[in-house]
Amino acid sequence: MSEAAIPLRRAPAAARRRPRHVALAGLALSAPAIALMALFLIGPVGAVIGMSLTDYQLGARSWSFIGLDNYSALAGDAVFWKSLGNTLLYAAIVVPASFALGLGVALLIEAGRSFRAFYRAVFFVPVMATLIAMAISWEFMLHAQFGLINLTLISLGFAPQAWLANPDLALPTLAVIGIWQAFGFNMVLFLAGLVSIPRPLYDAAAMDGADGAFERFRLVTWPMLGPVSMFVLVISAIRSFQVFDTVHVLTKGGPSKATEVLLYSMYAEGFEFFRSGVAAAIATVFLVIVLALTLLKARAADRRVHYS
Amino acid sequence: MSGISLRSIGKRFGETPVLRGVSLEIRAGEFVSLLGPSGCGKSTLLRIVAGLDSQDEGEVLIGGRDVSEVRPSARDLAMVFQSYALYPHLTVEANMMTPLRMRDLGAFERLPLLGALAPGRAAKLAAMRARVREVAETLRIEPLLARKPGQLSGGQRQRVALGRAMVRKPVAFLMDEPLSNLDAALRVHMRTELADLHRQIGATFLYVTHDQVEAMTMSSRIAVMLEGSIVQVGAPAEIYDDPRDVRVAEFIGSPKINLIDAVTDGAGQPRIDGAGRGGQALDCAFAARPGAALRLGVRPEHLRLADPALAPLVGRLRHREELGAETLCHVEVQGGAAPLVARVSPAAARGLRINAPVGLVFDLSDIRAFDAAGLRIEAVSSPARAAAHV
Ligand SMILES: Nc1ncnc2c1ncn2[C@@H]1O[C@H](COP(=O)(O)OP(=O)(O)OP(=O)(O)O)[C@@H](O)[C@H]1O
Ligand SMILES: [Mg+2]
Repeated sequence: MSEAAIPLRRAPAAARRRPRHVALAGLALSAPAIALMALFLIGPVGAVIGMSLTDYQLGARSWSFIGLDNYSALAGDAVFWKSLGNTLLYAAIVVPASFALGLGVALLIEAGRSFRAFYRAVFFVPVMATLIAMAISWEFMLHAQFGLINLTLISLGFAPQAWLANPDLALPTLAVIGIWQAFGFNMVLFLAGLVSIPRPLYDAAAMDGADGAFERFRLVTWPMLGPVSMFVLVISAIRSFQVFDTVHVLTKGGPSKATEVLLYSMYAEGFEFFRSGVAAAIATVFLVIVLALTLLKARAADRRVHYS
Repeated sequence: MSGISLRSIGKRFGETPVLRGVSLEIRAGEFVSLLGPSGCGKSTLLRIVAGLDSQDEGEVLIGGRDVSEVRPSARDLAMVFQSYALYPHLTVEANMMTPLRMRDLGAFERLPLLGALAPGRAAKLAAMRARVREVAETLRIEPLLARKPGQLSGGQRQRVALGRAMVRKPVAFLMDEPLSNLDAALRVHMRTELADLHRQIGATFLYVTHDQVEAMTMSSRIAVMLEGSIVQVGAPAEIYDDPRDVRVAEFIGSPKINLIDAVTDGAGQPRIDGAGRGGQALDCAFAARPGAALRLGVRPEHLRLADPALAPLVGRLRHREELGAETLCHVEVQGGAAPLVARVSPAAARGLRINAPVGLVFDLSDIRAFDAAGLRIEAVSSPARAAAHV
């Protein structure tokens, strides 16, 4: 039934005007959560934004307010633009690929009858594994001379590649690891979404003439997955903007800044060059991007994928 | 428009048989109701006809052709689902157009952007829109065409679901309890509309319901289904007046038919245990062995109140339900399991107090007798109606 698929979006108008004591009780009950959020979320964000307006250096005794100088320095810094571009490119590879792969695998698992739990578990393992540890395993697999991947290529008669040392290959290689790590998560979300599609819709589609796999997908599955897809898209984008572990372990931003990404630049500025003010400015840029993605989800798209 | 034949359809889910050799002939243009209690396998049977499930045994013929290997869409049927199953992301118009788009547009023409390039597509779409509008007019849902299903009431959704089935001219309509989600008033209204619709378009209808009133009021014939088998098929009046099985007699009619235990004597005449007038045998005979246990069914409207001294059944008035046009008297008879219910005119019941002794009389020709296994036993003799009631 269609109602089941529609979450209640807004409280009725009457519920918004509550008596005073109810409002007070509500405030009291949400106070602990608000306090914790202020302490651990809003406070630190405010501190970072504040710090980005100073020339503070890690460990320095004194610092001064320099307005937007850090930002204008970033705007003139080729490495920052390179790092922003790399991050966007990384996301542009990882988001669609992990989305498509997650959806594809979820559809295959849902369509099959046997070994469902097994497949679910297998594809979800990379999500649960510690990425740092996995990155180290990948490092060995990608090793130019004795890595499993090059050995396989050679035995099949292909030329070996310097996966992480070649500036053209390094970022795509990291993106592949990112996809490997992320799509299991998307798959689980899609599986949950698929299960909640009402069966009678497929029956209706079959009666209406859509009983081929592609037509069923277009008429029922894809539209009904709208909310889940939106969520997967935004979550994947945010997570790929956060790429750091693999860069840190495998390439350290190199070769020649080919894998320099936002969070790695921030890390380098803050903890290698100790320019905390600049690092805070990068962090602020990062926050703005993530916030924009979140707003995008909350505003424009929500209305088009929920069918109320 | 075609007839549908079901030939000994069997279906089991795991070990549990759900359908046991169901056979049914539906003639072209007929309105047949599949009536039975919840869980008896009606939906399963309908889904097998539609091709959404496959039978384990037997065959389905549509227009004389075995469709067992034919996909649902190729069977050219239209179905209305109990839950309506409207596409929530499409407007009412798009919902109703879907069956037309899927069948009348080629795969290329249905592509999102490229499809617009196909020659003749615009004309086809215009024709479909016109057809949708026409059906919407019949169902009086024209003002709703631009809305999404989430913005409709239950009754409106039901009409849209009906409209989606009607835009094509399918060989038959399959309906799975389409009115069960509506309120009482709307249900009555839609009953009339559906019957009208059937008269108008004259198509074959296979209509599933557990509501006997729906089945009685709309159908040309009713197939009563119990525990996975069709027990009796017949016109509504026939099912009501001439039940072949005690379960059918009990299932149809509200309040339920009264069942009175009796034993046949040497002449095949039933004697009601411990009843009035000294347990004298009734003056009618049934084709049963002497000493056989019988159950005599008498509909509530066939029982009349009478002087206890003269009546074949006597008891006490336990309860009285005044329904305005009629009164239901619940009479507890000595030795009887459940109270007997008599449907009488309010005037006849007016003077009676609760616990007052009451006699019940009936026409012998109104008795339907069933044997211990529940099968109907024919009367071999009963007096003419005028002389009747013992
Ligand atoms: N997919 C299934 N797997 C196992 N058992 C099923 C399945 N579908 C139906 N059944 C069983 O088959 C029996 C008949 O189900 P069906 O849905 O045909 O009943 P129905 O007559 O339509 O009942 P209702 O009036 O409640 O809709 C029920 O006992 C049900 O539990
Ligand atoms: Mg059912």
